Amino acid sequence: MEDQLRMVIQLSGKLGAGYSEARYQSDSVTSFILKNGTLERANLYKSEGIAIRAIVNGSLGFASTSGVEGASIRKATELAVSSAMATKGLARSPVQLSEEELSVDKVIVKPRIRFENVEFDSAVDLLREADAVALKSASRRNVKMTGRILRVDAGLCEKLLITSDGAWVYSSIPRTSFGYTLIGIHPQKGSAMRSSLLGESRGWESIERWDVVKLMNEEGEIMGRVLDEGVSPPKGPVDILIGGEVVGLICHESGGHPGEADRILGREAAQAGESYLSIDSVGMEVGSPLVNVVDDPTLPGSYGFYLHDEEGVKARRRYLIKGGRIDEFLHNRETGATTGTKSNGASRATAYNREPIVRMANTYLEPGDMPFEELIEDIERGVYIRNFTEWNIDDRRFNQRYIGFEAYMIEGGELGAPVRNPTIEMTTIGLYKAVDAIGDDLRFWGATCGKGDPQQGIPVWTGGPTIRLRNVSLGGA
Amino acid sequence: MQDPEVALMGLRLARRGGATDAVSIVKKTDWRMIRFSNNGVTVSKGTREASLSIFMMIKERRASFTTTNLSRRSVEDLVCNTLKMAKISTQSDAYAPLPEGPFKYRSELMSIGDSRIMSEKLPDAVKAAIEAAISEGARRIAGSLIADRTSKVIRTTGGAKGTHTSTNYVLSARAFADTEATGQFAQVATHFHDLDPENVGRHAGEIAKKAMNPKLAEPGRYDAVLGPMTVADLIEEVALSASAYRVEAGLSFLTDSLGKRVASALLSLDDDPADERAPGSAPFDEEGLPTFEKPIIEDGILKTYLHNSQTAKKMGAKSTANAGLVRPGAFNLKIRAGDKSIEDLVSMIDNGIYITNNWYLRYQNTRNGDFSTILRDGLFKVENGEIVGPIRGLRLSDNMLRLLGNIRAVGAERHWIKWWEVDVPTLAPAMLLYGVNFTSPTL
Repeated sequence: MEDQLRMVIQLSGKLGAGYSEARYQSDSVTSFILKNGTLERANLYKSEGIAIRAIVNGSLGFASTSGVEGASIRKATELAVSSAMATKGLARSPVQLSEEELSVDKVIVKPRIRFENVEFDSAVDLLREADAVALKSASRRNVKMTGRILRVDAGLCEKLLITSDGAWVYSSIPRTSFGYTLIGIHPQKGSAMRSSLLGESRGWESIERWDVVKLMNEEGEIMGRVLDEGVSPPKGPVDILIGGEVVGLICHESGGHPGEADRILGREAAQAGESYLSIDSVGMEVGSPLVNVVDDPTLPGSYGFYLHDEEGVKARRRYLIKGGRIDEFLHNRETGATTGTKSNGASRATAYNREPIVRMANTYLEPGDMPFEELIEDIERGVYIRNFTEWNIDDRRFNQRYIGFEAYMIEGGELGAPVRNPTIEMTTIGLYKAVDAIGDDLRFWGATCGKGDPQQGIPVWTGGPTIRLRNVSLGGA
Repeated sequence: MQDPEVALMGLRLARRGGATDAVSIVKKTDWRMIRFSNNGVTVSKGTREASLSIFMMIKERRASFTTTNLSRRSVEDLVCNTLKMAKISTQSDAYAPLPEGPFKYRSELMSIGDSRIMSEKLPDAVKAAIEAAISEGARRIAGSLIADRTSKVIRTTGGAKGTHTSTNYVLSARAFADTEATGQFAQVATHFHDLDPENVGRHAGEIAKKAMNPKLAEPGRYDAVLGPMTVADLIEEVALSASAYRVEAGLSFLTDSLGKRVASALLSLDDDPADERAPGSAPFDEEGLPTFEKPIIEDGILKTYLHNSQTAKKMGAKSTANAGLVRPGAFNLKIRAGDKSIEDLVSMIDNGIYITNNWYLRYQNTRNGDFSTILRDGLFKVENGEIVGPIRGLRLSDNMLRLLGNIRAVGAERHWIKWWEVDVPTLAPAMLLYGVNFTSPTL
């Protein structure tokens, strides 16, 4: 494949491109879905092709092809260059790339247990068992789990990237995820929904370690309790403990997205939107001094793992918010050049037919040193929101909402009855500034982050420890 | 090999491997996109790709694959590996054989839209949209113009055999008169000459200009006029929930609602794959059945779920020819027009809100329909039947069934909407709804 990619670089140059890059990407994913205890279907997905970017006199063209033989690749190269030339007169400012030290490296992550070596029947049986225990544990509370989707995806992503200015990166990364959606119905007390995802850049060993049977047993029990015993959320100001699963999502939505430099510069304005921050917001106070939000692609085993980005820039850990202040934005080489800084290795693409753009990888709140018991002990009246159902945030990433699924009243420093649908509806700065303590219990969850046009659902981790907010009102009225 | 030969090869290999039923689909796409922001083009993209998808059954056991590698060797391996998974899995679901042909398809649906994508005309269309928005008072504009030509070849063990091609143009533009004064509009068309970039740009620009200096709004229940962009987004959710896949899984707010009232009598919603001028039309579904127009909701009553032969068998119904290989879905959604102009709808409100666009809809619970969505772009306060000024900071937080029940009037003018947030082409009017719940941040 390297020869074909070299041919792209050479031909692009001949056709007038000042910069070009060629990326071969192959994705193979095996998926199986259990719907209400029945194997809905097993599916194999294999896609491979070549992505080409070319800059001609400051105009950017992108082309891709699923044909990996000479003629298709030549045509795609011509298309990338001619697309750039066709809109040359309409570019507002020339596209430039920041000068970087580019990587030459090979990154191979080997799964300990390849899915191909797992007996398919036993894998399905494992999900069946997980499904059955969820059903049973919810039924102890007279709750019928009428809707249950359990899904496993196990895949391998291989890439080879070559750029005209010297990057050469091969990577082979496995990814495995377990996702579920559960609907429970209580005959008198209505219904509730819970969805979540676990994901890692590992093999089947992740599924084994997650102990999905135990997890589904817990989810069934919680669904039963929430519906059977759940009380309305309290009115008026209370203290709130927010669990790591919600904190991770908060950090992703309102800590990560507003710090994507392409959004700040308006490139995503018509789709995913812009940001409440401007390019000179570095140093701006947005949260309590305890708040440190990090995005780190290099975490071993993480769902958003990579060591070199789609432009051949070495990945590194980035503080998006440090001590409550904006520390740095997420950059690719284009936004790096536009803003007079450097790329910090945030360029990612989901498939061969997608343009690389600025993305998060693994975004989380750095843990503090307080055990959960200390966080809760002096709360006289409050709510602990452990995880969530619904969420959304405006396109400037300022007005956000998270509705708790598993949540409890806190009275006299102890957990009490489950609470139904407590709602956090707050501004980004309002929420981050209200953080008065951070727990030591950092955990990560998988997520698929949406952005780009066409859409690119990219694997990421979201993570957090439990946090405490003092004297705030729940929303949703 | 030509596409029909590849499809046939896939089908034969599936049969030889032991499949009792199989669908083989070759899809080829030629696609262009110009993305623009800050009044200029940011990137021009093009993709040419081909894929083969095979859905196989060994009686009640099902498996499938999709690949971009169409070589015989690759397809052979995939058929073998996929069937192996199907064979060793324990018997689980009900068996519904694929529909038996031969089938006759409507000739006017076999090729929809332009015979090629008019890629050379796209830059001028983008320029026209940008200039129109600026002439209305926008300071900057962003968006995308997509041109897509797709061909689909199908062969099934039921004897279905057909080739369908279609061309679509999708233009979406968002104008900024100020940081928080924005307007968005979109259009989808099958022929380039039907695309009206000036109108899309002008409309987005007009909304943005009117949205200047918005005031923070008070949350609460208000009567609301929903513009076509928002109506299209909510109605797409209704169609997704009418998919028998979601109903059968127990995840739909339309579960157990067949033949029952699910909306105000003013709402009638059709899925129409058989309109040759409509962007999502197709002569056959993914099981090879000839498509046809059908009401999903008529005068507020749920008339049908959207079925393929598998869901139909399980639910004791007939297929509505809405098969996707994974789940049934709509082709084109058409909301039947009412008789009110936007001005009429606004004039019916004493104290309420006019919504031009929304985004990021998420459910608290798909089974009962509780959800919220962000209101973005021009949002306006209405008092005594007139728009009095722009507002901001609200979220629509309500329940799907309650909203459908609260439709009080439907607009006469309809627009074909498809954009980043709306996948299924939807012919949508504006609507007036009573008592819509709006929330805002507490901190």
